[in-house]
Amino acid sequence: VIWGYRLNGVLGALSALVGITLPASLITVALTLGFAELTGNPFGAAIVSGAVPVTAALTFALALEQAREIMPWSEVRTTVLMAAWAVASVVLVTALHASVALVIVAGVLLGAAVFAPPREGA
Amino acid sequence: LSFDQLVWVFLKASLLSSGGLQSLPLLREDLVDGRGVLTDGDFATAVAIGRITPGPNGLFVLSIGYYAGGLAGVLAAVIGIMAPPLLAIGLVRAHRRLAGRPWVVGATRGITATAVGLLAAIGYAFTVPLLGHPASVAIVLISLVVLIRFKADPLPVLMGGGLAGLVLYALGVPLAEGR
Repeated sequence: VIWGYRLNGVLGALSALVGITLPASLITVALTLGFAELTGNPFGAAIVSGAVPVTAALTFALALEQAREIMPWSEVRTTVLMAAWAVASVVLVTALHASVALVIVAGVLLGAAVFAPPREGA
Repeated sequence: LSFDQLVWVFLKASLLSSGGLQSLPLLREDLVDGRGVLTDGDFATAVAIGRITPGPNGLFVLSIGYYAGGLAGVLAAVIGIMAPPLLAIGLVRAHRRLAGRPWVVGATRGITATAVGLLAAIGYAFTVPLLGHPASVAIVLISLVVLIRFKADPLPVLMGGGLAGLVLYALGVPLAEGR
């Protein structure tokens, strides 16, 4: 969408948004209807109950992959602090049932205050 | 849940996340924890569908919309996810000006570190209902190894899970129900 805006202003942004989302959206809705149909019979339900645990694994794998990408590995102190905050946010949301929106806002504020890169030359 | 409530739920999740699966924890909080409209099984299924479908990963919200409110729910989800990218255009200019500032880099790191934690929390929420079923837990662990160690694509792993589900069903091994 941002690329669309850079190429052709607001119209570009709009067409990018529709171009990206429309075809895939239709397929998503069709598949969702198909899945709802599928879980109605025992074989379909068996397939879904086998695929659902994979989703849990996908989510964990994605978290790990993102962690590897975003960490500023050369800044050891910041990397340790960011990892600690990521773990803390898991605990806050799962064990303490903190509001997800609040945790995100806290992450932004904490990041601006503590995760900033050192000034060049310092 | 009324239509405008649903639009608000999707809009909020979309505004507070930066794409992909990041809106998942917010949606889950509102629809599973908050109102009990959906189950974690519905969520896991929606994510699976989102990953099977070509196009942006964020489209799993359309499946969630469908589970929450039928086709009207899909429409609510579309409105919710379309609005923030248009608002983002204004932010592009501001970001160009501010991108180099240390505190902006820090805040961005704060968001991404939080997103990692929240994704892990979702994985945890998906896993908890499976804990009573060793075969389901085994599928989680095996797919995790395949995904991380061998960097496998999500689609074949999902299909493998579905196949395992069929085989285990034929063998009479109980799995946690999908929904």
